[in-house]
Amino acid sequence: MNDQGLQFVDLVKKELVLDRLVATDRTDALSKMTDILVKRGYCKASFPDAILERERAHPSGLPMAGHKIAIPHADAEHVITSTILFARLEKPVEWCSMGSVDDRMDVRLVSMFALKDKRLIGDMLETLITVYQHDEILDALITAADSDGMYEILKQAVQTYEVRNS
Amino acid sequence: MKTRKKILVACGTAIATSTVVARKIEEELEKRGIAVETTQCKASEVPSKAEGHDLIVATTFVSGAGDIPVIQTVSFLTGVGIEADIDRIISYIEGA
Repeated sequence: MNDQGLQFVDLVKKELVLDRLVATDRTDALSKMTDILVKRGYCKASFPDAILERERAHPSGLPMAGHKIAIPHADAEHVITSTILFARLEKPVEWCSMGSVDDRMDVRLVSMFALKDKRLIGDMLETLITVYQHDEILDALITAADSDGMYEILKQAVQTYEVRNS
Repeated sequence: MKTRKKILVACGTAIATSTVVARKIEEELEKRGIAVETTQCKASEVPSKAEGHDLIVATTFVSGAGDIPVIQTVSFLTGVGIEADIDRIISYIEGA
């Protein structure tokens, strides 16, 4: 870590890219993902409730042009170390759209942000959102053979679309 | 020289999405030679922070903005419809 902010390898860990996560619905997916972040010490015990509450008040599904992706996150006070937990669900679950609770979409890709210091993560956050705006990348993530493949796709995409403002 | 227009960017937590939206708005307007000043806040903070801004751009529902125009959009996150929203932003701040 340096003053240029957190880099991809600082934020996205291979063991935090999950494949075939089984979830009955969006709440189940969020609970399973937040449990992992708490157990591995990235987030405080208050993180799961904060994520669920935030999802209720402000849904995190992004209605991209093609494949959809959800970006659940919560306030920095619940986070110990910044990281991103990326999951491909075994089957899509229904998610509400950001900005419009009445709009529902099927989501298989979930990028959970646990963010501590936005000054250090601005570039990487903007890069990742830009990456997610490319349907061919989401398509590759959906069709990747396994979690190693998903990690490599993310890493490659971040290098291609890297934003450096700070 | 004209003073910079001020845009308040609101989202659920003011840590993730508003950061990205604020940066994208600044970049897109800069490409068109327009410099703006953005501030980020939570949707719930809009009533207390809206004053003094020319426009509010929010990714989620906000209330309590008073007379300040609000554009609610997720285009800067999805990439769908950015051009149209930039045109709307410009029409508001040029008219302000």
